[in-house]
Amino acid sequence: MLSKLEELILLAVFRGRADVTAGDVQAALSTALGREQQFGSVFTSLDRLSEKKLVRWKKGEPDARRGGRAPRLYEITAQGRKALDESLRATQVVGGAGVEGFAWNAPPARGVRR
Amino acid sequence: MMDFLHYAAKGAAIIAPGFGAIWIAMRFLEEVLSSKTKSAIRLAILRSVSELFDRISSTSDRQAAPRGLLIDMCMPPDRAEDVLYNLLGRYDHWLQVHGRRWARIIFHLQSAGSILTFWSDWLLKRAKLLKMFVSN
Repeated sequence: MLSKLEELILLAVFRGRADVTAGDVQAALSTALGREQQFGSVFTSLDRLSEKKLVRWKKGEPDARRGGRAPRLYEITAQGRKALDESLRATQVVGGAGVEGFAWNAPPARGVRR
Repeated sequence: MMDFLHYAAKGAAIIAPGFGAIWIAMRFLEEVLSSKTKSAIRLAILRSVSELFDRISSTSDRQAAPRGLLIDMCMPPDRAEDVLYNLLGRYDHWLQVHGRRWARIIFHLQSAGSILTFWSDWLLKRAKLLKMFVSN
């Protein structure tokens, strides 16, 4: 079972398709949560996901603007997509068809398709 | 454990020679020279040390992005490379949003947080292994 942070990180990696850096994930989480996400927790979670074989990484090209350093580029695996799917489905099932008072469950505005 | 000792030794290897050289020079002065010459040379040494520190602080230009020396020293090289790449990437964003002073503070806090999380995770993994070994 994935933790909430792992689920969000997997989603961020999945939405980035391929070649996602830890910085991209941190930026996505910071924007979503509305506060600066700790880089340390992102790196540790990505390491754990990598150990569970839910994401894989390869070395990117060195960037001269960042002192010739090369990043790790992450990509979701088939196993990762399955785990993410299960986790999101579990959230949906537990949430049910309608939990009143939650913004995510509010009816869509007119003309907006869900 | 070996990793920790390796980085402790690396840090000591960087700091120790500088202090060692100053101590040897002072001892040499005490033993060999007359009191007048001693004080003149002491003054010269103090001046050159102060110039050296001035030069070091002026090369760490406040306008430029931080160099992340702490990460380079406290993390394995492959991990440090990735961490610094990402932190420097985000530094530009922090610079635009918060200004130079806060961007530097955030950079250093994030660096310290990354190092702490890395080593605490490392310790936790070893502790789990040890617990498994003991329980078996």
